[in-house]
Amino acid sequence: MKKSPPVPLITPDGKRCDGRAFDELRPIELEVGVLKNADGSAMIRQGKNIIVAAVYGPRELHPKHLALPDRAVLRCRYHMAPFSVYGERKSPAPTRREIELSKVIREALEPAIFLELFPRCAIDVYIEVLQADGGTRCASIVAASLALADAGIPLRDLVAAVAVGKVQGHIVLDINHLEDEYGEGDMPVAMMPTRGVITLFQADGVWTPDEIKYALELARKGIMKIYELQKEALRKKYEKVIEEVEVGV
Amino acid sequence: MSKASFEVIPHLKKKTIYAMLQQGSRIDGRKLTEYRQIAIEAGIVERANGSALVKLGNTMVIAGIKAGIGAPFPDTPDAGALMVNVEFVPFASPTFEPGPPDENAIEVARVVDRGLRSTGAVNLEKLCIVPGKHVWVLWCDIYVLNHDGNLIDASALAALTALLNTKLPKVTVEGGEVKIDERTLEPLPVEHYPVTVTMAKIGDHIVVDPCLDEELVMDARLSIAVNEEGKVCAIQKGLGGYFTIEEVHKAIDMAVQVSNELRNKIFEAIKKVGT
Amino acid sequence: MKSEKKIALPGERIAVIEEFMPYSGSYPYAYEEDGNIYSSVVGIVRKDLSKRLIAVEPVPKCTRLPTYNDVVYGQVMSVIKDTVAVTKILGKEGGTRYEVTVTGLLHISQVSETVIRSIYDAVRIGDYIRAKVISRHGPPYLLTIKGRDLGVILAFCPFCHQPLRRHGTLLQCRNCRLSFKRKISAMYLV
Repeated sequence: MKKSPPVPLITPDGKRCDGRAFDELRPIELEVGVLKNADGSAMIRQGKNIIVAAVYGPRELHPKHLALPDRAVLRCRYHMAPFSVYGERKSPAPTRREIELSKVIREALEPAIFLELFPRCAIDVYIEVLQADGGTRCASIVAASLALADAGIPLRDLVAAVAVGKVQGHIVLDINHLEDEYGEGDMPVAMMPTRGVITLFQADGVWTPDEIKYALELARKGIMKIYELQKEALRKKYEKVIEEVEVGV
Repeated sequence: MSKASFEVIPHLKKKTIYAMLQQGSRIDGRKLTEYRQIAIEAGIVERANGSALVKLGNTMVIAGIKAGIGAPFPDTPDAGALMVNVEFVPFASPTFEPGPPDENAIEVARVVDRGLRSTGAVNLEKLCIVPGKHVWVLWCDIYVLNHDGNLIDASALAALTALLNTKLPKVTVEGGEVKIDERTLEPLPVEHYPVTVTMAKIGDHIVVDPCLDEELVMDARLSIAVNEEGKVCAIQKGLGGYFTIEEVHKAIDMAVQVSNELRNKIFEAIKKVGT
Repeated sequence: MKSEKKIALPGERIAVIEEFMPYSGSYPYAYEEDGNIYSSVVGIVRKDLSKRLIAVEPVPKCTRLPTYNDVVYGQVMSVIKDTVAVTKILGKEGGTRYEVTVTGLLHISQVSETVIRSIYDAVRIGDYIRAKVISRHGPPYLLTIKGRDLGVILAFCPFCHQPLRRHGTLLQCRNCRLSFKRKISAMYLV
């Protein structure tokens, strides 16, 4: 049913279409605090993905009947810019896919946040995909969790995520747009790295239980690498700030 | 029952649910891996091309397939289309409100759709009439009639049964024109049989087929679609809890184990109406 | 407390419970779980070696919402049963503005040291007030206007909508030649 890909997904010498090894991540650039108005923000470039996440809050929740008496409400909006996709313009109206992804991203971040500290409040996470290149929900989670940390919201852990895919029978890490479109399977995984627990887990395509086992292990290794990059990005922004604070003391 | 009491009362049962799980039993007397009573009735709506009513305990879901001839998607000119839509009918629960599908309904629809699509349950290429011009477009509309938990599994069961029950009129192409012969009906080319098994994590326990009381206290949910070869074809984790890697493996083993039982129920229902 | 050169990051283990106890004021910035002490924010680790206490001082602080003792500006939106003025907090003194406003409640007992009969003797709907936050949690935040600098800072005539002017202990409308009772702040604007 699927058309054949424009380039071979796996080259004869065992490399992927963009020259990566099976267990290799795309180059990732993370930057914290890219937006001035937001309480916290972060940008991720992963391959050709460009995604900005911003956090507003905690702030009072309006309309008030939606507020919870014992915890904050986490609201999440994942949205793709009309120009972010390959080919035709995407309508800016939220699609069913975006609504589902907003929900799963929210549920991936929720376990990490101390929501009980802010009763009757809302924490809003806005994610805009400026350029999409496969694995955007995972990249969004990576950026959103940095934005939450940048907003100073207490977190049990950062959340890191990566999509594992099945391409011509091989299980590969961090799939790109082509592998997503023409591969046989896609498995986005998000974890709280230091706790080793899974907060987002989806899959499509046909997988044997053993393949899932292998894929999860591969994802875990990828997530640990991304986690290191997240920490580095936070340190990069805050090491300077902290030195100033210390001098002030 | 008001909306508030509908959501609050189960929290009072939380202690009981936890205590019973500690002893290996559940609030409605089931074992951890036991489904509620499943009743499937195929072909209950005659006007639809295919239909099925699924009762999972008190959860009641109906699925209807409407087929029409339309243009294919530009990226798949030689394949038919299958669209899954889930509607939470307001009378199904005091928490459901009229309006366009909310994120929960969309999630159910997309998880069911993913299960069917990943395995290629319906061979969509066989639904092509004239490549690039005319193909069969299948609309699978799932109506939730009563909500007592685990809508994903009930919807997936209803969708697959309805597809197996679907018959399409024979079409012939004469000089570029499509002619429909309403009298000769052919079954839909259904080639794989994915069923979805949903598990709830309550405390440290994982239980199959959560009822509404359990759903309202569960920490996280994991839905796993399994095809007839025991391969996993869709996964969806839900809610703001988490799973450890070991729990995921355990859940997958559980899902593969109980999926056959569900599939047999569908085959029984289909046999009853005759294909 | 002694500070370390190292910064802590969210989810990072900063000590085990055998070494240190989390300083009670530091929750949830430093919190204990399964015998380990973790940081939940980007911050500076501080240790008290004699008392064996550990704390994390957050560097990006989420302090947009009002906290205890903050001076805030707000507008009275409604009054409940002559005793509570529901106030929309518009901003904090020092610059924070609330685009999404925060609810504050002013109870009749927090107007002045003397007993007043109705909160309408102190504030009216539409008045702008300068108040101090006296609750640690919220929203809604409890407010007080006891004190010289606190109270109504701007009010309007209910008939002609002109700003009222201060005249002794009363507010006066020069157009309508009427006087109104208020708990006026020393910082009344006109």
